[in-house]
Amino acid sequence: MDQELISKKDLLHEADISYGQLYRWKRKQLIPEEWFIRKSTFTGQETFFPREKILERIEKIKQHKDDLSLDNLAQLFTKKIDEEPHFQNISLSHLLSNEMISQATRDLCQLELTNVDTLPYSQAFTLFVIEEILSSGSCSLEEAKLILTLLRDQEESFIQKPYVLFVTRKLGVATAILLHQHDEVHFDSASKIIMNLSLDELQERFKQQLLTHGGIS
Amino acid sequence: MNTERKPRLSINGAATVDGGRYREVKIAGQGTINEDLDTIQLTVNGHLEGLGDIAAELMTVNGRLVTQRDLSAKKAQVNGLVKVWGDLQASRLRIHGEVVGKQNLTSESIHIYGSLKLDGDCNTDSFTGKAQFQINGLLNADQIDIGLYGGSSAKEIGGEKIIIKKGRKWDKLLPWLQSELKVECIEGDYIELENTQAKIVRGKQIIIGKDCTIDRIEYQDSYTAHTDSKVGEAVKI
Repeated sequence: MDQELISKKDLLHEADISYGQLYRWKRKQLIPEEWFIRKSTFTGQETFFPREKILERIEKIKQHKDDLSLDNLAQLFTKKIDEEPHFQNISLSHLLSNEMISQATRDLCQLELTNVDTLPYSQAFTLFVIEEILSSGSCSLEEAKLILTLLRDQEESFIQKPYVLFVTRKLGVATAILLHQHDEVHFDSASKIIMNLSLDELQERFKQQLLTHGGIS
Repeated sequence: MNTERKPRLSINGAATVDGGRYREVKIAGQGTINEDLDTIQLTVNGHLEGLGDIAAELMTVNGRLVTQRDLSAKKAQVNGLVKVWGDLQASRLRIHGEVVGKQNLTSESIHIYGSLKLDGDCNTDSFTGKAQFQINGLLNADQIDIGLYGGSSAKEIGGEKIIIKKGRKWDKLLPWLQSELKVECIEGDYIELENTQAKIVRGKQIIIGKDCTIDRIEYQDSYTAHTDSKVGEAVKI
């Protein structure tokens, strides 16, 4: 798939940032190396970026840069969860005391949780998703359980890939679908979409809360 | 990983050791370390060859340190020669001799009174001093302020404030010393150059001093050039 590119010059103009900022963010690994695409033009080598991705990323950096350090920001964007000490062995009681997860969510997931307090990242994130679903108020407890089993099955893969969670209801029966972010999906008219949740976005929020609350054990 | 640190490793004369975790490592003669070394203090007054990774909080090299793998230090002072075949990471690096790196160099502050040769990229917040450098990749730093002593080069330079000037100190003593910087592309917000050859320079404010040859300049706010310099074209973006 050919993605639309933006030149460095246009990017600086459009996003209203300076060379200094761009190079600093590159250095701190807030912008992945593979987004820097070199091409020869008539004025020599120029650098291009995947337009949509870079503009979205810069928007996020600007949004967070006052409340998070650049190093924390890098952790926020990283896909290498295993290498970040902040994201390992997350304490359940910590999540509860910081109100990242409610008692109701814990009770719902209790069935499969053992007595240990520390959770691996993927499990903790699943709890966070359930919390989001319950607090939105559009799903019943039974439906949340259904979603929980779906998430549990895919736990290892959805933290690496940008998934979207759809919940639809038809004639009072709910269906949960986990879908790749850029795929198209169509439903019949009798199905009502009751939830459309970007797990990627949610994960960023989760990481941000972990970093600000220090949700480590 | 969490084994206790042994208090002290000291090599006087010639010795080969395994490595391990120490508080203090001192090499006065010739030492070879076969495996990973992790120490709070590392002082090399003779010659140290490392076959594994070396990590130190405070490192001083007055002689030679050659390592086949990665080298990391919080604070490093190099008065002799350091050669690293892997990645070099030093939060604060002062070079009063020579550093040769075969991969990337990551730092916060690099101050050079000597020379730096790097096959990869150099990433740091500040890059200052009187130096000769050769960086085959990108030199990426917020603040660059260098007096050139000897022929220098970099593939690309990028940052916020970039000041490259000719080192004046040895002008009369060594008039034949070619202090020139060759670089393909320089990009920054404030750029001041002397003795620089570049294909393209892009920035907000650009001041071209003496003895530069620049093929193309793209500037946003302001641009001036010394009459001794050659500029192919200058375009306001």
